[in-house]
Amino acid sequence: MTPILETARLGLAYPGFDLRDIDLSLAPGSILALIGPSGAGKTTLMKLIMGQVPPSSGQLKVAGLSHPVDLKEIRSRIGYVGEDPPFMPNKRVGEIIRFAAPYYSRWDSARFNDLLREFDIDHRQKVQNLSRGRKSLLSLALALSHEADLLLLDEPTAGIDAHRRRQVLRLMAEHVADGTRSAMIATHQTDGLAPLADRLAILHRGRIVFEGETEEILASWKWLRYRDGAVSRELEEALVSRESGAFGNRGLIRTYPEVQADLEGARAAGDLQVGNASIDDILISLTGGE
Amino acid sequence: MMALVKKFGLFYLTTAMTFFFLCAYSLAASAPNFPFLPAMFLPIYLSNAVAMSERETGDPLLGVLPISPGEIMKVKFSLAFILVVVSWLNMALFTALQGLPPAMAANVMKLNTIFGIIGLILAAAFQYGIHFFSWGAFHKVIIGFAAVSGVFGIAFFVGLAKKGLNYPGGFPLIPVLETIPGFALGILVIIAVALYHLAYRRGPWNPRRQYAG
Repeated sequence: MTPILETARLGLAYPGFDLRDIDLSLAPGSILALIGPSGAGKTTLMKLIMGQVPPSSGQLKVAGLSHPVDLKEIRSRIGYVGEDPPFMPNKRVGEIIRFAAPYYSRWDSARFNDLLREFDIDHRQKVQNLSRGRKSLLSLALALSHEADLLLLDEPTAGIDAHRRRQVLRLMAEHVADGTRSAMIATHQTDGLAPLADRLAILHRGRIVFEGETEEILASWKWLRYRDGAVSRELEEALVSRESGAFGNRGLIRTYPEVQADLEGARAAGDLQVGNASIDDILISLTGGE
Repeated sequence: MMALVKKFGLFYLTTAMTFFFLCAYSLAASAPNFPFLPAMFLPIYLSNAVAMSERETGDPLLGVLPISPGEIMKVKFSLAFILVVVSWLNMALFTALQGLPPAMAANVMKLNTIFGIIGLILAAAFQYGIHFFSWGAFHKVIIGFAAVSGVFGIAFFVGLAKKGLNYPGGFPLIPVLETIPGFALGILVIIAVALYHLAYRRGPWNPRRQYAG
């Protein structure tokens, strides 16, 4: 099955920043969460995929179409919500859509109008009168209304409340539910992502430092809380984000399934507790909390 | 494509109409140096049209929609070209309506053509400047060019009027224009149009030229 998104050693270098060796493959029906600290290169990668900036190295394909030759067709297959909603403040919602819709052969007006109703946005409203969050939702409505093969969401929930955030994540999940489309979401806010994202990629200083299946990652990364001597010195040294205090010791292990059997004794004796790690825990341990 | 033409074309259209009415007014009012005046102001009008329409071409929505940068540039280059051609035809019409002696009319048309060529060069240069330096940085150059040219143009014609060198015979460029053969100017036009087309075709917005690796 052709991946919806495929990059090979993709890179972009400019003074002060170097995004490099980005190898990603996104299968139909899957969601990739791209997480990383500010300035890691998430937005730059999104812009590269959208063809808003040309790469300085590597290859990039969307739905089997190659950048840059098929850029126009590629953009018609992508639903993009950028960090800054791309609307001129003096335009009305209706004007924007009248201009944009004819460029999409699979434009679905009914779907767009439904989404506007769901987001409480009126056609007659001027962009300058919409809040930051509403502008993002308008951008999302545009992205979801042309049956895009790839949904690219760059901080789509910035400036919106928790209720709307859930709504955005639900719509993203619904979009890929039929198994023919994919989504990639770049965000700081990892809350609620784990059950939705099939894959996680952590971007740090322009490089993917970690990538894998979310389920597998969360099964492998665990918090260990233990008393002195409950785990071997070798294992203790392998722990990351290690802390010791009055409560005892704790640290994150990356390979829990491999050592699970060895730890059963300590666990049964009450000298060790195992807890789930969050995506934030993993991010912080891999990026040093930057 | 038509949606883009509509979006960007408004300011080119209003510029062409303003230029037309300026010529018509100058003709009706028998303004001094009229036959030569419009040509020298053509680059300024062109700069204004580019500057005004660039607000629309800078619409960030264009970076999201399935429109290639080459397509956007095609519309921008085409509109600037059409503006120059329409302005040249406009000046030719009013030169004909003046009923000038043939030799003088030929000189006026030579000047119109020279400024048409300058207009094309400027239009291409503006697009390259905007592309490489961004509209945010380069708009000062375009607007500055229009303002400075306008001041110099007005000073030039006021100076001529003060010296009593009025239309039509007193225009100081006439001796120079008389030495330029018409066919040479024709060849220059062909070269300018070819270079203009090449500037569009070979520009960095061409997708095959955008990516290094």
